[in-house]
Amino acid sequence: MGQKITIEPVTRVEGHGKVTIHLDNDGQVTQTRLHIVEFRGFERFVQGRPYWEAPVLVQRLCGICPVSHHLAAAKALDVIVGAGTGEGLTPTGEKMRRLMHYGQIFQSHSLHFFHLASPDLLFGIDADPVKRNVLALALENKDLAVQGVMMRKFGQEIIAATAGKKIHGTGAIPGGINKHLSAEDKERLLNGPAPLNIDSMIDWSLAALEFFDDYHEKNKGVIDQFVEFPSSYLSLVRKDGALDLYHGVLRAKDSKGSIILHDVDYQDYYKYIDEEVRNWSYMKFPYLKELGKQEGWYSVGPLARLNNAEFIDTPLAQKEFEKFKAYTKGGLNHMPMHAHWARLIEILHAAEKMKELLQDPDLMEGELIIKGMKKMEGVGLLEAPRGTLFHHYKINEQDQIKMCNLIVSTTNNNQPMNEAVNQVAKKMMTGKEEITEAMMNAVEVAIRAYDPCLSCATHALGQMPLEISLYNGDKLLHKKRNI
Amino acid sequence: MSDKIKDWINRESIKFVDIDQNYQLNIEDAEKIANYDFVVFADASVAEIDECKLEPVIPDLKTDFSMHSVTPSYILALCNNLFTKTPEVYQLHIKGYKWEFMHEISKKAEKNLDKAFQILSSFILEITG
Repeated sequence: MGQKITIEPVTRVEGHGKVTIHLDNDGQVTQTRLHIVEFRGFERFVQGRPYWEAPVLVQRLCGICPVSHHLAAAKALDVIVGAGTGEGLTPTGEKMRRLMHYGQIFQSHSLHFFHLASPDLLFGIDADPVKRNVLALALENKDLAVQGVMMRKFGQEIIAATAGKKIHGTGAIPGGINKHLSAEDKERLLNGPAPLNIDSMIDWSLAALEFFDDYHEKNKGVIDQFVEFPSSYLSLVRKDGALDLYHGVLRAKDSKGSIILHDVDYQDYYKYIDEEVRNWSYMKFPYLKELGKQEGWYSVGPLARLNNAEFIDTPLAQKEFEKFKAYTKGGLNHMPMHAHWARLIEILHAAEKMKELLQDPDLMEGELIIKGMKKMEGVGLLEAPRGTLFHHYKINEQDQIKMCNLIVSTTNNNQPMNEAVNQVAKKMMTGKEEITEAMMNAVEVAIRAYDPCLSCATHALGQMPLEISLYNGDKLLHKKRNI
Repeated sequence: MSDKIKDWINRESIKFVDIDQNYQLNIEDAEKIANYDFVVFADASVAEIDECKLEPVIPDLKTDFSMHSVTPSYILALCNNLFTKTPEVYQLHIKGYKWEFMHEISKKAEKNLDKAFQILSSFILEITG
C-alpha cells in the first residue's frame, strides 16, 4: 500500500486549492496533483448582461488584479465598438490605460515579492513556519517590509488617478477612457513628498534588485537548483520584440528556444490554443494545439515574458534584463525561482514607464474615446502580473453578451505548477521516512513562485484555502492546513 | 454600506472625521491608520450578532493565508510593527441578511444601520468631547 500527501491550503497564495502526493511502499513519489476545488462560473454569470457592463462586472473576479480584468474586457469591447484591436485608440485613451496597467503591475508584483515571497527568501524554506511571515520579516528587515507597503500604496494611487478608484474602478470604457489625468494627481505622483513619488519608487525598485542579487549570490542552491524543468513559454511581445505588458502579438517558444508561435494576432488565439478539462480539477489545462495536449503546455508570467522578449525599452530595466539574459548565456531560463528576479525587473520597468507616462501631455488633454463600425465579437489580451490574460466576448443583436471565455494567467500556468510540485516532491520526499514541515513548505514555495491567483482561475469569490496531505493508499497519514 | 455612512456623516455635519471607502482591506491600510488616533472599520456583517456591535480590534500576528483581503486585526498588527503607531481601533459590525449580487440593502438591515449610526454618534461624541 502506497502513501498519499495532501497540501491544503497553500499559504500566501491567492485562492483555494489542494495538493496531493502519492508515495508507494518504497517511499517513491508516484503521482502529484495540484487540484483546484472551487468553481463559480463567472463566464456564465455575465451572459445576458449588456456588453458595456463587462469591464466593471468581470473585475469582481479578483481584488488583487481587477485592473487586468477591467482592461482586458475593455480591449475586447474596443473591437466590438469598432475602435480597433489595441492600436486604434486615441493617444489619451491608450496612454491612460497603460498608466493604469503599469500601476497594477507595480502594486501586485510588490505585494507578492515583499509580503508573500520574501519571507521564504529571507528565512529559508526550512525555517520555522511561525517565522515565515511578513511580521517576522518586519522584525528582521523593517525597511524591506515598509518599502513593500509603500510601493503597493503608490501603485494603488496610480490606479485611483486613472480608474477613479483603487479597487474596481470604472476608467476604461469601450473605445477608450472616461477621464484625463488631473494636474494635481500628475504633480503629486511625480513630485510629491518622499517616498510617495515616482523617483523614490524607481530608487526602491533598484534597491529591491540589489537585495535579490545579494541573496542570489549567497543562496544559489535555493534560487537555481530548487526546481528546474524544461517548458515552452507564451507571452505578448511588441511587434519589434520588446517587452510590452499592455499590447502586442502572441509569441511562444518551445523549451529549446525555437519560436513555435510566430507573433500572431491574438484575435485568432483560438486557432492556436485550446483548453483540456481533467476530472480532478476545476482549473482547465490550456495547450498549444500544434503540439497537442501532452506536449503543448506552456508557462506564462514574468519568466515567460523575459524569455520571449528581445529587449526592454526603458534604460534601467534593460540593463537588468541584460544581466538576467547573460546568466543563462542568452538561452531560455527554466528556473521557476528566477520568476522572482524577473518580477523585480518588471517592477523597475513599470516604474520607469509610469514616470514616462506621467510626464506625457497627452494624458491631460485630447480625445478620450473613439468608435467605428460595430462588430459582434472581440478578443482582449494583455500581460497581467501573473501572465497572459485572455478575454473573449460575443454579443447578440440586443447588445447582450451571449458568450464569454476567460483564460486567466493562473490557468495558463496550471501544468507548469503541477510540474513544479512533482519535481519538488520527488526531490524532497523520495525515500524519506518522515515528512517534515520543511518538505511540505517546499511544495508551497514552488507554487508561490508562480504567484497564482486561484480565485481568478476558478472565477470564484471569497476565501479559498489549500491543503497538503500525505496518504498511504487511502489512509491519510499527514495533513497540513495553514489558515 | 460605506456610501450610506458617508452620507450620514455629511448630513449630520460630523466634524473631525475622515472616511475612506474601499472594496477590501490590504497592507497599505496599515500606513493609513497610522495617521489617526481613532479608527473604526465599519461594514455589513455575517457575524452572529443582534442588529450591530462595536468592539475593539485586537492586533493579530497570524498571517491570513490569502492576501486578497486582510482583517482589521492584521492591519492593526502591521501598523504597530511597521509604523510603530498604536491607534485605538474598533470594528463596527452591522448585521446583514441577503448577499446576492445587485441586492439593495434590506429593510431589516436598514434598521440595523440606523442603530449603528446611534452607536457611532455616541462614540464620536465621547472621543471628541
